Amino acid sequence: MEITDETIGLLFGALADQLQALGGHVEIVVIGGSALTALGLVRRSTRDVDLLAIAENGELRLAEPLPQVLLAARAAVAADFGLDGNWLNAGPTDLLKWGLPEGLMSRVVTRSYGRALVVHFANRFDQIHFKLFAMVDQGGGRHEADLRALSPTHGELAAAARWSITQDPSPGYRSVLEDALRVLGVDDADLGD
Amino acid sequence: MQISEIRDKVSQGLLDFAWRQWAQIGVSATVDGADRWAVDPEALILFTIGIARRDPRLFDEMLDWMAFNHELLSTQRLRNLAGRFPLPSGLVAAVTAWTRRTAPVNSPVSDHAHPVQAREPVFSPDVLAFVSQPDPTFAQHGFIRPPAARTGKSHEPDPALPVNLSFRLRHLFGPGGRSETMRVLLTCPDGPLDAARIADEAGFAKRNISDVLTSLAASGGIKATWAGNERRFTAYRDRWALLLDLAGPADMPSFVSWVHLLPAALEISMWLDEKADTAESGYLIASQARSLINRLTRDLEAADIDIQHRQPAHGAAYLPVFAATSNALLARLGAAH
Repeated sequence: MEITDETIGLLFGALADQLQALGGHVEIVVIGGSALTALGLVRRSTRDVDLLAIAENGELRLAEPLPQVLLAARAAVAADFGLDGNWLNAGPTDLLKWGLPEGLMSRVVTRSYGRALVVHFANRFDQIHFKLFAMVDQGGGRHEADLRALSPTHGELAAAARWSITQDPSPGYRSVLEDALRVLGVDDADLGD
Repeated sequence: MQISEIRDKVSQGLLDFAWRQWAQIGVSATVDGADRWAVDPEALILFTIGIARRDPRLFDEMLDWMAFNHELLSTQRLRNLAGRFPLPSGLVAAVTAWTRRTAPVNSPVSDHAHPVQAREPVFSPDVLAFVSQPDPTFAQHGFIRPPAARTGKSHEPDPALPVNLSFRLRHLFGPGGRSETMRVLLTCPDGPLDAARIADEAGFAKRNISDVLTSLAASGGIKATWAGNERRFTAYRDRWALLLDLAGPADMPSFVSWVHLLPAALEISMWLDEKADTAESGYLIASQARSLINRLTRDLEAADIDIQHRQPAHGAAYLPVFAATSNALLARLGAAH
């Protein structure tokens, strides 16, 4: 089964059922293609759900390692829907180490699935940040396509660019970033010193 | 299909199957039809200990039969196979202890169980909720049920029936590794078998069965051949058919891998009992059903059950697949309606 706007609710519902059966409760922050799909910002299928963080008592913590209860629930859902065993993963959680866009949690779109699962989807503005960083860090392709689909303004791209430098302050990154911004139609972004 | 409907069908089908087997081996009951397979007595007993917790009459007729025919049973084999069945070990021990105490000629009771307070009912509260006076033997093993008494209606298995091949062989060899080895070799259609496979089906340790096979081969009753560095064995079925007064080798009873089929059937039935009144979501029930069948796949396939996994059935859509697998199980047992 592919993860699409039609199936993502079903999968999170199933994950919630499994968590409840295991006596668990998990609150996760999701970014990437699945979050864009869930919010209807982009219409495409994806193979996985990227976890940015686990929320606990109002604080965010690294999603790596995933909690045992979430691992067990993930495995059951994978078996039930023919998904890759790693369909829910903490791939982008290192972003947390160097700081998230200011005020991200005040902008998230939150959905509860039963009593056992709360999902915070990063909103459009923050997704522009993550997609720009991914485009520069990993190359264009789907990241560029997603970014263009979000139709970011010059101001949003400039803000995203400034934040992305906090993730990788190297001159090499900055140079590729400037190239990427030019491709996206931004020639005069103030990236600071 | 609702899970409770599947439960009712499986539960009734398995009870019908059990009654039919017991009726053919000597329990007083009237059932239609005769099976062409050879029963496995200890596997049938263990299966019945589980399934008859919903049918006290069947449970007690089994006890009566065991007490009457205890010389045809292998306590060692019962112990060996018990671990394959999803049964509390105390309940199996209680049945064994009760049978020994009640047998016409008392066998020495080597029952070292310390008295424990009875706490778990033998029978489902749906069929027997009130016990005014507990059976002392079962109570000693932690189980509560009304006093069990011999019904006195059981008789010996009729050796002329194909279903009773095991007992004919036990009359010949005694209840042990030899008779079980011969049952497997005479009935299993899979060609020459190695010692591991025979030991698995016979329910004895491979080392014991290897010794049995060596001596049976030396006697000329079976044939041993080498395949690579492994010995494989076949029975001289034509000679055995003559000895057993059958029309020919084709008249030999058929083989069923009871040691794989009956534990799986009992596990499915017990899971269905647990889930029949659950408030869990349809998806979660289907997920647990999938997990159960995945766990039992090896046993079900060993018993020639068609596992319905040719097409993907995601999420809650697995429940009809589970129902189809349950139907295939009942059909294998000749219990489909």
